[in-house]
Amino acid sequence: MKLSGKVERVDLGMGAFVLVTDGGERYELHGGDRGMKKPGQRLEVEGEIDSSAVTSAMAGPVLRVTRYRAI
Amino acid sequence: MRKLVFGLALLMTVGSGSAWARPEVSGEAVDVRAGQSYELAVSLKPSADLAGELRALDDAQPESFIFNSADGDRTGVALGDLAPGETMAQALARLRADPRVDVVEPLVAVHADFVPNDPRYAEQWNFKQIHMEQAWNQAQGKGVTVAVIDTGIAYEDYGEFRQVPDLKGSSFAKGYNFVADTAHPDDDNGHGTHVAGTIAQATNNGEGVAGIAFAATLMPIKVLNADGAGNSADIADAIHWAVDHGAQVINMSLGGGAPSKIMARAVAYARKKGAVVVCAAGNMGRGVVEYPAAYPGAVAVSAVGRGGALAPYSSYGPQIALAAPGGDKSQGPAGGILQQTIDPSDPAKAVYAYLQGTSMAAPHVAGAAALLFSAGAKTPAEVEQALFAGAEQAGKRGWNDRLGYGVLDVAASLQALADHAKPGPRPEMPKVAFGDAAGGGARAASARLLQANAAHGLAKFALALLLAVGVAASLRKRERGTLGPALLAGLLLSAAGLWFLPRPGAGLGAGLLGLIEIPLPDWGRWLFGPGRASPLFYSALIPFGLAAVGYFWKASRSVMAGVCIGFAAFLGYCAWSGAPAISFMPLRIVAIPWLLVNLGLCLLFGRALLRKERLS
Repeated sequence: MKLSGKVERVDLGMGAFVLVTDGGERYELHGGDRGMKKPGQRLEVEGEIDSSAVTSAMAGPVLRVTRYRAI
Repeated sequence: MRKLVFGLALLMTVGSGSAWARPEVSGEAVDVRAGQSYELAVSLKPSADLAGELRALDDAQPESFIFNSADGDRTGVALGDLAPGETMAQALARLRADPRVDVVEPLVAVHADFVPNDPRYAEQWNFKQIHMEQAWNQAQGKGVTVAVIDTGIAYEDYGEFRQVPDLKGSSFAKGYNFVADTAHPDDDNGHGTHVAGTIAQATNNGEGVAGIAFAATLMPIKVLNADGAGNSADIADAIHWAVDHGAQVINMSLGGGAPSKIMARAVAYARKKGAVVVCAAGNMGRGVVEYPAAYPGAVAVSAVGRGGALAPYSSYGPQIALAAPGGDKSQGPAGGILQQTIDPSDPAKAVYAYLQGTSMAAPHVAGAAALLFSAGAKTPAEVEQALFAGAEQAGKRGWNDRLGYGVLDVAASLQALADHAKPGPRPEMPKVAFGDAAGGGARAASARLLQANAAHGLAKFALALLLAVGVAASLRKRERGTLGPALLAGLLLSAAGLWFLPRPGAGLGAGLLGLIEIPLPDWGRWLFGPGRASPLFYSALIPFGLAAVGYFWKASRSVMAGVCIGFAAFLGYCAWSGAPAISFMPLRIVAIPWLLVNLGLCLLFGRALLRKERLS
């Protein structure tokens, strides 16, 4: 699936990077690389929701990023 | 047609899970002795040979006496134990009559609050909030093992890892690393070490900060990687591993949105084996509790800030058991929870960090559970009852879906445990934490199906609007006893509750919405607390009243017919599920016929209304 939105760092537990889509949904970003994790940056992201994933931040469904592009 | 309507209603009831239809009737006997030792303090009359006087007293009276201190032969202050079988009053009366005794009284235990000497303890506002200083007087968690299923713990010097200084002196059981499949669950993230610190940071050691159950044993289990992510299979394995290696309390400050049968079974296994399973509710700030917290058998913990209000990030919902401090940094970092952990960029470097999250709230409850076990609780049910009773006494507001039974109060919970041996009403167990999968689980799952939808807010509004328009339209057209929206609304209201309605924030409106979101027969529990249901609510009484209204007020007839049939479906499900927790009816042999007879009456009322509607 393809999503676009803004990267934010949420201060939950040790902190996590999320993608807030234009529709207002929040996904926890996993995979990708460090370049993806810049607060304020707008991204177009390709990846899948990992429904078996469990995280310490509990900040939203886990989006496993396979490819991303700054927009 | 009617069969179809009934079938539909039954489906809805089962589908929505009617969360309260099948709470487990938990009746484990509690055997906690009140821990007083009935001791006496005696002051002897002045004498040249006080030691001789005491020996004489000891010989003459059935009680046994010793001097209170080495100075006793000068001060004359002695201590005594009651003789077997005698009461305090008998002993006092007899001893007062003894010529050697000046004063005798029950020994008053004077406890100063335990204030640890850790230099940054003053910054741990959260421990004051849950009354740790009184609690530490009574218990420190000795002999209890708490598994921390997380990112690992900085508990040993191994390879690039170092034990953090403020865990020196804390005790550790053998753990496991399910991420790397090794016996070294060291922390490469920082989350697990912080969580472990809240539970059992080395305390009164003149270093850093304190922990709740500092004499307990920590069992480090790593299931989350350096990014704080893991999967349900590893967690299920970890739960089994922990229980099989002696963990009595399991803390899981982790969660995900999708249910997993394997994880659910593991949680049920842990509780069956006698472990209390404490889980963080989630940080989505909405009315859906994450898994594993939402599984039956887990104690789901929401988070509050310094003021005791639900933290803005905290998830909430029908499975919340209680709340605990998770911090709220919106007014600055000091509003967070302070513990020692590692710097994630260098696992050998220790730092003190203020964190916030339901991740921080859960270990407060896990630590409290360890204290309760060490204070004599024998079963998870006893621990949970004491936790809820303590929280409830502090809040005095009963259960709600934000804070559960209230905010954790460790001192009050220890007191509740001690009081448990006394006769009187016992605190009720939460209605969903021990329900079956067809209860709370399914209700949550159906809510989740809607809410997992990206546009869940819109969908809920649309459903509510559709229903309202449908009812309005059918009231005007007066559809004749068909499966119209009015009948459907009535069915839903009594069989399942309008669980899909959107929820505004707080106030009377939200309270009333909370009422119509649950099945009508369960309104009694909303009004009178989430304990057992009144048999009058689980009967044909309400349908009878509503049917009478529908009989004479034509416009309401379809809705009322729906309510009657939905009611029948609810009672049917309740009887079928075999565990109707109805007060005054402990026996199924009484309760099930009661439900079936009333089910029949409800169907008759519904049928009468539909017939009347068709004839008119």
